[in-house]
Parts: sequence; C-alpha cells; structure tokens
Amino acid sequence: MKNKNMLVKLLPAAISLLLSGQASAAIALYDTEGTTFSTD
Amino acid sequence: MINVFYTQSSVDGGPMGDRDQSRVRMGFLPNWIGFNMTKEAGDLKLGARSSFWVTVNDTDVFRGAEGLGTRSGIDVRQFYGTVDGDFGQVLIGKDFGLFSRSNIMSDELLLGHGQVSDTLGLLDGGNVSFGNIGSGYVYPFPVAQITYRSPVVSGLQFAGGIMDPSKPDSASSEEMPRFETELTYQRDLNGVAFKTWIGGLYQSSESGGSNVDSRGVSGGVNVKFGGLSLTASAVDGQGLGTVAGLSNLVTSENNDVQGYLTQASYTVGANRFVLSYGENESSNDPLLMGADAEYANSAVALFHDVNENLKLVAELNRTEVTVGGSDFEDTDTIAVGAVLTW
Repeated sequence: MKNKNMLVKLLPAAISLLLSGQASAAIALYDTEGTTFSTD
Repeated sequence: MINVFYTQSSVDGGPMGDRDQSRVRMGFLPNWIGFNMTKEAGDLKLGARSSFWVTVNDTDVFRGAEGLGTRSGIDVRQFYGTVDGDFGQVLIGKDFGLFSRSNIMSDELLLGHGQVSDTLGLLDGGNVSFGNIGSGYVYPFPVAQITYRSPVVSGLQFAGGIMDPSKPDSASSEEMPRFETELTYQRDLNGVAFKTWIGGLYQSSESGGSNVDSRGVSGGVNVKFGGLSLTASAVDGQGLGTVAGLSNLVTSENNDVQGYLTQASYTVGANRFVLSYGENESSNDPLLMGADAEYANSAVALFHDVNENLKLVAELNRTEVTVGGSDFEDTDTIAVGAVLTW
C-alpha cells in the first residue's frame, strides 16, 4: 500500500517530465542556429 | 491576416432574379497565417514560406460547405522555397503567377471587398469577394512553378518562370510548360514615385486533335506624388480566363478576354480615399454558352488606419454585367469591415 501511494504521488511528475521531453524533441527537429523565423 | 466585413447587396436581374442578401464574410483576401524562414548558407540565402489561407464562410451547405459544414476550407496558396545570390533569386514551389501579377497587387481594393455578383456565384459564395478579378484584370492563379528573378538594376527587374500548365480537359496534352514573365521598372524622381510593368503568358494544349494556344499580355502604370496615387492597368488574353477572370481556365482561341482598371486614391493622415472603375470583356465565353460578356465594377472606398495593425474599411460597389449586348445583372453592395494584420 505504501509503495502504491508513492507511485500515485510520483505519477504527475513523471507525466510532466514525459511531456516536456516531447516538447524538447519537437523543437530540436530543425536547426535554429542562424535561421530566422517570422510570421504574418 | 484576419478580415471580416458586414455586407448588404441588392441585386437587379441576374440568374437568380431580383433579391437582397446580407452577409458576414471575408473580403477580397482570405484570412491567412504565413510562416517564413531564412538562413545564410555560404554565399547563398535560403528561404521558405508556407502559408494557409482560410475561409471563414465554410459552414453553409448551400454555399459549398463540406461535411455538413464542419470541414474547413484551407488553401495553401504559397508554399515555396527560395535561393538568393548575386545572380538574383530562384523560387521553387507554389506561388501566384506572373501574368497580371502586379495588376492585382496594385489594386487599391486589395485589402477591401470589391465586386460580387450572382452571375459568378460570388454574392452567396463560401469564399472571398473578387476585388477587381473579372472587372479589370485576370487572377494570377497560384501554381507550381520554377521562377527566376533578376537583381534590381537601376530600378529594372525581370522575372520569368515555367509553370505547371493548366488543362482544357482531362484528356488534353501539353508538350511544354506554361511560360510566364513580368518586367517591372520603379523610379523615384523629385518626390514622384513611378512604377510600370509588363507581363506575358503562353501555353499550348492539344485536345481531340485541335490545338489551343493560350496567350496574354498584362501591364500597368502607377504614379504617386504627395498623397495622390494614380493607377492604370490592362490585360489582353486569348484562350484563357473566361468572364470569371481566372488564369487557370484554358478555353478556346476565340475566347478573348480584355480588361482595364483605373484607380485614384488620396491619403491624408490615417485615411485613404479610393475611386475605382474597371471592366473586362469576354467574347465567345464558354461559361455563358458562347455569348459575349461585359463585366464592370465601380467602387468608392475609405480605408482608415486605427493603428499600424488595424484598418477599418467602408466600400460601395456597383457591379454591372452585360451578356449578349443586353443588361443582365446590376448589383449594389455596401461593405463595412475591419482588417487585422501582424
């Protein structure tokens, strides 16, 4: 039971890490060095 | 760019008869979002643009909506890459055509509304109004192309490209691509800004043993001094366009499309006042069962800049259509709207 409670507490942090990892991977898909971006 | 107008049209004649129609709709330009990038790579500058042009009038099943109105109409009108160097620029991808390009880009109503009619199905269309397409020039339809632009030398610039050829029917053959060019010249002299341009188009199609050579010439002049801007432009084409004024419609060699547009604007402070008149003539028009058509639009417009990113627009348009020498449709349209740009 104690271990289960610990897992429940850690789960949000694990999901948060997973999502931020995906966001970093998406940004790294293109080279931002020397590239300028604009929108209109 | 986001633009939406409230419009009220009164139709006299036309294919649906006399009627009134109100709309809340986009103006001449669809709403869009564009993403641009550039990168220096040695002596070259590499660029790319992707853009998505969105109709906000895509929810009525009687205006061409799909999926009972839940699918969005998105055009990808510009999706290209560019390579710039000392030699000029090469563009590969999809962009507006060169024939009649500066005619439309110089239209004082580009950020406004312009003409609509029941004849062309624009009054109750699920997309844009037509500015002066069909009433002054031919739309340089977005098309896949490989285009070269020279450096600007003493105000002179040449652009020439090969375009994916348009087809008169699914069984036609085009042995060569479509060729389009535009030559522009700009000069500032003692506070007077002068611009002139001339463009051209040629393509050949064979279908059912007969040949269609489509060709066209476009051109114009713009002079600005003080707050006054005067513009005159014209197009002359055969074998393309129709009364709708669309460069991707290949017709027959006896379908002549000729048009001109004259405009004057005066800018004082945050306000630009516009007077506009233009017309197209289309002979042996296939969209009108071979009849001759005249299509004209007169407009008065006021553009007010609230700030750099917000523009308010008020327009009056009278669109007159003559088919076979007889009055066919007169439509008066009031349009009041706002344009947001970033």
